[in-house]
Amino acid sequence: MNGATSTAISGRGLYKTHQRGDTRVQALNNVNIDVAAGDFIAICGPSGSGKSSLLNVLGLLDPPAAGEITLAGNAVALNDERELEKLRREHLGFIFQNFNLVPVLSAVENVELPLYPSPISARERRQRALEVLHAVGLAERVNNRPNQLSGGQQQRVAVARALVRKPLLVLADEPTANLDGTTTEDLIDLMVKLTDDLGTTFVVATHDPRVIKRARMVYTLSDGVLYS
Amino acid sequence: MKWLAFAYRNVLRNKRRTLLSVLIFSAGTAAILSATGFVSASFHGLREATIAGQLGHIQIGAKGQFAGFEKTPMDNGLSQQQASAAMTNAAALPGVRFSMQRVLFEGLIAAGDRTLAVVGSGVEPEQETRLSGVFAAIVDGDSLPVSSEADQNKVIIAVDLARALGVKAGDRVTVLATTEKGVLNAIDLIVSGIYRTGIPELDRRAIMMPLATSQSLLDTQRISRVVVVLNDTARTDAVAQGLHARLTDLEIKRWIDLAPFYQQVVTLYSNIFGVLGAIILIVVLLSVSNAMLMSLFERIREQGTLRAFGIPALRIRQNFLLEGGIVGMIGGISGLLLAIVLALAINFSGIEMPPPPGRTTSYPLLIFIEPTAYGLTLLGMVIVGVLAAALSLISSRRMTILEQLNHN
Ligand SMILES: Nc1ncnc2c1ncn2[C@@H]1O[C@H](COP(=O)(O)OP(=O)(O)O)[C@@H](O)[C@H]1O
Ligand SMILES: [Mg+2]
Repeated sequence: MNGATSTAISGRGLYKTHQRGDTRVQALNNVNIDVAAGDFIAICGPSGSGKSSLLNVLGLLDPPAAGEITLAGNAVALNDERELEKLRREHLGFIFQNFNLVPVLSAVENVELPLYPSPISARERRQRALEVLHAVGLAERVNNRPNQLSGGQQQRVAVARALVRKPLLVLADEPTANLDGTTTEDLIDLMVKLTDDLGTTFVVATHDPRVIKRARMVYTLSDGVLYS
Repeated sequence: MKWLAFAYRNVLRNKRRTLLSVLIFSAGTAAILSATGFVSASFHGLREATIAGQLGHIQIGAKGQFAGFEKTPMDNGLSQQQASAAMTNAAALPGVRFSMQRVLFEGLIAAGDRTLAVVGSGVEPEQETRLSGVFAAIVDGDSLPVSSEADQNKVIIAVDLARALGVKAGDRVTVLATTEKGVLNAIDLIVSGIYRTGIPELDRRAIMMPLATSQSLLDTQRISRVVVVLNDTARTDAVAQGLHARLTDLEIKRWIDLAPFYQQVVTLYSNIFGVLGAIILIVVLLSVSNAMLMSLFERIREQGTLRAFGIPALRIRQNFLLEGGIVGMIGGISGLLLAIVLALAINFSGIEMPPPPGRTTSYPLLIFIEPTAYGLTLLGMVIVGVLAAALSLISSRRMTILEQLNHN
């Protein structure tokens, strides 16, 4: 995969406002962004600057008030709920600040979940999930439930889950916020390695300097305005 | 399959979440099955008591016999040829154990200076004993003589009537009745014993004597009815149809035609227990849906996560219904086992129930274990589980993915 030549996702003229009581908060203000395939991008900025809003819009979880999104070369129909669902399923992966693993499922079962809608055999599903868990260094813990794993291990499971469908783009909102120093470094190493080895594209919202330092490209958000 | 497995894991691996619902289902199932098992045991007991105690399975009489009114005694009786034709035909039908003859009459009984009205029957004691085991529940003295060699001038008198007359076993009484030809006749008989019928009205009015004795009292060769006894109550309709086809000039009555109270009791109790069952189901439905609402609430973020990964919201809701069904199934099965244990424990403990209305004898508390009822109740619980899940889905607010992801 040669990331330099193709654009994974791009946003043009993105606006997002949130209503909070009587006041309207301008979370995104005319944001333009291009993410090349295979890139590792950090979006930084203080709390409340609009990082999550941007990731949610790019992740097709929350429609922008205005603007256009192109995913894998196609304009996205932002008001078609089922189409968005399909695009998320086929092209996107997510990593959350608090991992969001399903507590009753083992690591490998969690990783299998995004594959459920696919018409593949149980054996193949399991095979693919195990491969990704292997790639994130959790081959030994595949049958453990989230509460039997450390925070760093849980987040690796979440990374594996985000990767199992081989998405074009993985969106991670403050993935290291709940991790301590060394585990944060390990997770960053993992993401960098996956970018290099598998050509995975990461867009990471963070205010963690250790992440920012390792990103290939850093954008800064301030009051909803994006600076590169 | 994978979705079912997912639902199954959600149910089984979160014991705390599932336990409450399973307990509710289990209690509801056991309650319903115990109630229906008790009711059907009661129906069965009442039915067999009605048949064995008095009616037999089928009765055959001349036209008009069962209407009750006769212009002269034995006017609607069966001639000897008719009676033996009826008995021969009955014997030829599969499932018939035996048949016997009865004479029914009304008359007076006198002892000392007291005279009271009676309903009398002439019976074949040996055959009656085959029908009911203890054909008359003797409380004093002996039953009617079984052997035809013995003295036939015997009578047994129901307990309250005997008290009213002031007679005991061994005393002499005179029984008076109008003969077939309309003449008053009287015979002297020895009280062989006092018996209890179990039915208050009959305890005040009933007497029984050997068939031949009653025929000589009424000066007749006729009998009133042929009583047909079967091996199995379930054969009643088939045998009745067979008799209808062969004995076109006679009336054939099944036990249920002669016991309208049985139908009334069955209808009454079915309604009462139907309402009770419906209430149990509703209570189960509401409390389980409440428990499931909590489970739904706990998993809001999980739902947002699944939807972020492109799993359709509809699919997630369907899976929640599936979970409801699985919980209903697990709870239903455990309730079913509980019901079996309860039924066995009660059946072996030999608890006696007080006499039902219109009866004077108590009966054992029994609870039937009926596969059909068990199957239907289990199915019902699975459906209630799905409904409870649906109810909690309906009563929970629809949320956007972000609302779900940001919950708590
Ligand atoms: N659901 C919401 N309702 C109201 N205001 C919101 C909501 N989400 C975000 N905001 C506001 O929008 C602004 C941007 O928030 P966010 O995108 O979460 O920033 P960040 O992730 O950088 O902290 C903040 O002022 C925040 O309070
Ligand atoms: Mg944020």
